[in-house]
Amino acid sequence: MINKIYVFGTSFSEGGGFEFDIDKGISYAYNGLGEVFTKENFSFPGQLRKLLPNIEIVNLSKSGYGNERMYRLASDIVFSDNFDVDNSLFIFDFSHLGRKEYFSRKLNKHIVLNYDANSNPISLNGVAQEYNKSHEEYQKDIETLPLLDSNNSNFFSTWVALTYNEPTQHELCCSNATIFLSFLKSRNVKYLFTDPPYFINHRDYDNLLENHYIKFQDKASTHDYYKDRTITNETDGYHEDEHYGLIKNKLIASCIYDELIKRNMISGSKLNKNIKDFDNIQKIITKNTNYLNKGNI
Amino acid sequence: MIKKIYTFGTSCTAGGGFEFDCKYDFLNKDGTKSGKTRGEHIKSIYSETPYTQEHYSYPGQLSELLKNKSYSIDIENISKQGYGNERIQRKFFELIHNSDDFKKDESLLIFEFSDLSRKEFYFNPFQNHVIMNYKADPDDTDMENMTIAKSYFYDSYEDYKAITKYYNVFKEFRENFISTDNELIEVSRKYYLFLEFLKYNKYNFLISAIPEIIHPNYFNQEDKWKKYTIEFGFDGHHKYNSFNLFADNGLTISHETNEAYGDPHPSLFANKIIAKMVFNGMIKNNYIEDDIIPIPKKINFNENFEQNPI
Repeated sequence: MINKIYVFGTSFSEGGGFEFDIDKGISYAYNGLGEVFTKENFSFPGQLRKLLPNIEIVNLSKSGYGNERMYRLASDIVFSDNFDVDNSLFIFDFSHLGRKEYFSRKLNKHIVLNYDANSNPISLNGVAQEYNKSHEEYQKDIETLPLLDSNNSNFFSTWVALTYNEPTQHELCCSNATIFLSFLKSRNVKYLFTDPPYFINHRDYDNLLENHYIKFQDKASTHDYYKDRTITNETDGYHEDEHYGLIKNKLIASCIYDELIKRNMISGSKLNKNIKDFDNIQKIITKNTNYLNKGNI
Repeated sequence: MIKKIYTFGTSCTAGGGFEFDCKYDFLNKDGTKSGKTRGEHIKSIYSETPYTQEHYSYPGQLSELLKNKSYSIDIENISKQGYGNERIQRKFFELIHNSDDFKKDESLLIFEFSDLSRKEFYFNPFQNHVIMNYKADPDDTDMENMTIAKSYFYDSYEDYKAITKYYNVFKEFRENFISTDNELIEVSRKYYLFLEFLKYNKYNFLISAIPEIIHPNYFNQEDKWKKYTIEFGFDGHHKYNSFNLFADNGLTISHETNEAYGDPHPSLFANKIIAKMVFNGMIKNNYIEDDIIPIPKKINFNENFEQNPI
């Protein structure tokens, strides 16, 4: 049995798109559901917490960041003397290329560069300490970052053009994931994927990936599960954001819950939820957004 | 049964100091040109052949030792001067994923791990990696002490020009994104992750040098890896967990040549002794069955020079 779950991942695990502190208008779309208007609550780990009140859930996901941050945080937890390996579970939402972490001496913190790995030349999508802030906060953030002005990212443009090579980064991405997952195996750490690192070498699939999937209906990745259930679609375009909607996050949480029961990590009965179980919630959201889309607020 | 040994590491494993093919000018102690290349100068001091960096390295000497003892064990030395743990990881994965010749159960991997102060980058103008060596002081006060190379002692003038063109970009990176404290955390964490990976995947491996400094966050991991670490030291004297530290104590090229050739890497004599200690380490870890080779009592080059001045 487990009593603590750590979730590591990107904005998809953090509750990306539900930045109520920046845009209070989002909350109007979700009025009347009895949900607390926080990003954390609207994320799938937040929804899982409601299903598992006796299990501590620590969500260490962060928007914009990727695998390097996961490896850093997760391995340091395992290396610490007080880590309870027997009663802990790690859940990973892996990303691939497109995110590169740097340590800023000036800020004494990590920052992250997001880029489009498929573009040629590489196009940069921004550098930040924290994504999803208000415009003012973001501008302030940008100004404090090293070598950047408010309009562009001169240093990183030069740096990426000089040092980025897709095959090399891909190889590094593969080897880092292989090392990290082997480390977890070596330490008998229980881990599951909401999004598996399919990019690792195929010969390591059986060893490092098999038996660590969560069943999201017939999918093993949340990205492939109810693909159309984005915030944009859930709110009928009222809040345009391609992150997972609340109902999808509730479904993900229930799938994880069922998986934990199947694996005897918790006791109880499976929920076996499907999308129809959340029709009432969708009706309320639709009612709200119809009203909002008519320009009532 | 072990049929092949792969050695990974830095200059100390690559045979650093013995760059016989180096075409750079050898400078006298006063900085004037000697009229000889570095390679010619080294050849003028040493007589053992072949004049190759490989032969003068400890893996080269280990290869000789194994041949003399009739072992059919090949050694592939994958080390490179100036480079560190990032290259070790990269080359290791290239080997296990891309080499048809690699046979895990028949291979022994010997790792010399590096410390801080080395950072590897892919460099598009070369379509290859380059290495930055920088001064890692605790407060990061020294930003000037930094070099970049594709291959120290062998880079061409064209290479040098290409690197110089972008030197300031690397310098900006150093100034803004390399913190000694954070790098120490990264190096320590990645070191232990890599060891765990090797252990979990049942690779045959030994450590010829551990990182000199480990971040205090990871002190609790150190003991676990002692059985994989080869000990280096003269009989009855202090034992080191790193062959290069052993050599630092009076057995460098500078010591061996009485400063006729100033270089801090392990001397030829040291590499011969180190090869024997690695051989003994293989016996102790059951990779070969043989008698332990006796290691001499402490040797002091200076005493030798006093008796037999050059």
